[in-house]
Amino acid sequence: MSQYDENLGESLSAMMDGEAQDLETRRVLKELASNDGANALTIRGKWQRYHAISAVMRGGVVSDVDYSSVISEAIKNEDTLKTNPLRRILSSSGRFAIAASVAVVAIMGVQQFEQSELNVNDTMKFAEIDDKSVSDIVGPVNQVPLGWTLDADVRAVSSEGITEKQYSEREIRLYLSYILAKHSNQAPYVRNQGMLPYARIEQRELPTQKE
Amino acid sequence: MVTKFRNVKIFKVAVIMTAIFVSSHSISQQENSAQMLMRNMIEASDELNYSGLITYEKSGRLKTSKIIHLVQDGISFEKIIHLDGPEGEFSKFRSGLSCESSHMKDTDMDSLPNINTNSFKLLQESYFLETRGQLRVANRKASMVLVNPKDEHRLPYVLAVDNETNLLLMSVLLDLSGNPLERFQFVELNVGEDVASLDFPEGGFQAEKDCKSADSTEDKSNWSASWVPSGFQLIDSERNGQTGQQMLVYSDGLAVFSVFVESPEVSAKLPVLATRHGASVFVTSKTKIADTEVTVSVVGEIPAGTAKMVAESIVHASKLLKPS
Repeated sequence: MSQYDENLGESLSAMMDGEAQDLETRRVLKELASNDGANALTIRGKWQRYHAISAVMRGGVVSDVDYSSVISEAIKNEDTLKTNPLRRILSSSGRFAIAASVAVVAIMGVQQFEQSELNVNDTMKFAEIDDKSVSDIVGPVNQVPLGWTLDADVRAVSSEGITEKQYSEREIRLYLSYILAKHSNQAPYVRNQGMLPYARIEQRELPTQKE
Repeated sequence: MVTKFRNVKIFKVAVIMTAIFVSSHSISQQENSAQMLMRNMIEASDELNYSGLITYEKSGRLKTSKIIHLVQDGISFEKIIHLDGPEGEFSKFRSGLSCESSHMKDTDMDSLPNINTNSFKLLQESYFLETRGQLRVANRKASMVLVNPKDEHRLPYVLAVDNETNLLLMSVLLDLSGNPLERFQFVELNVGEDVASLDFPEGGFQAEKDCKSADSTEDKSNWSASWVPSGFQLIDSERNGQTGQQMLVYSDGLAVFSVFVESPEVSAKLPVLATRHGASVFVTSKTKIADTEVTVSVVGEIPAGTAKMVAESIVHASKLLKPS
């Protein structure tokens, strides 16, 4: 018995005990691949015997009939499971729908969170301006405006809080720029900021359009 | 030994007292110089001829504009030309004359409330002014002034005032946590004769509506705020006959917010919301008058919480008249 055969036997034994490593399993399967090879036949024989022995030890029934060829034949003849392409699309789109709805819930949650944060921050906090924050403002770091809020985004909250009423986002945006322009047109009359309020005026044409 | 210790103790107390006296003296001096700077800045902004290039940034966007300020015979001409984005310019005439001395007929000019004269006094009531050293803006040396609000209903500003001309070179509006919300800054400034040689536009200025009396604003408004933060005064009130929109403008001498009460038709299209656009906060609220729901919008450079409180305090005149 060559060293290789010995190793093969050990690997098979390990497989029986469920302790075979990947390499050992692969070695056994490789030998089995050559259906009529000497090693393959030996392995099959051994495999059968080992199982017979373990069956006897457990007090089970031992049969010397080899069902394996019959079973593999039966599997071969079985109809292949055909998947309906429409079904496949539907199932994948279903997954997508779930992902999308999760995303929507996440976005809505974040929006709610942000909104409550805005209210809390602005209503409750009154931070003293210390030297550091002032030097930050004029320092080179702040030449790129850090902490600037993004463009005004419209978040609609119903007055009742539960029933959502649909509002046109476009109309709300138009209204926002309209009254912002009207407000900015008034501010220059407070003369304590020089020409600054003029810089705030953006859409001069808006108030006249609506008036 | 005992007397020696006592001497040391007295000496310590004396040192502490002196330190307190010196520091309080320097603080008040700082306050005075900041007030001087601010007062001079307001005067200079009105009286000097100047032109220049400015940058204005908010919400992460930078805008560049050219501004011109000319004065002739007590009348100012102010103009801003946008240099990027959509083309646009905006100009206005203004009179420094008081209401009594100006007898000009009305034109279609926008109304100008007369807050100028007492706005500095108002401002002092609501803000602490402090100088914070020197800086350089638009290649000019400037003094930094911190305008710190006395309560949480207004926002702090950091200003740079030109040492030579007292003009406002930079203004940064901060939120209550000290983050910048908007920045207005000169990148180039020309002052004096070169600018004065620019032609003062003719024929444009005929009117002076700077003198709106308080009476005329009151009788027009059906709505008023039952609460505004202390120091804020009503400086303008308008009712748009066509849209039924009522506008009220309040200022504390520096911060300005506008209140809009919308017609029921417009109100129906507006949700209750709170949002921010750069330095400006926008808050809406709903109120009822004779079973009709109307929307109250507050826009201004004030904290969102304050805007919300103001929006919710707006009441119709009919409700005020009822005995409580």
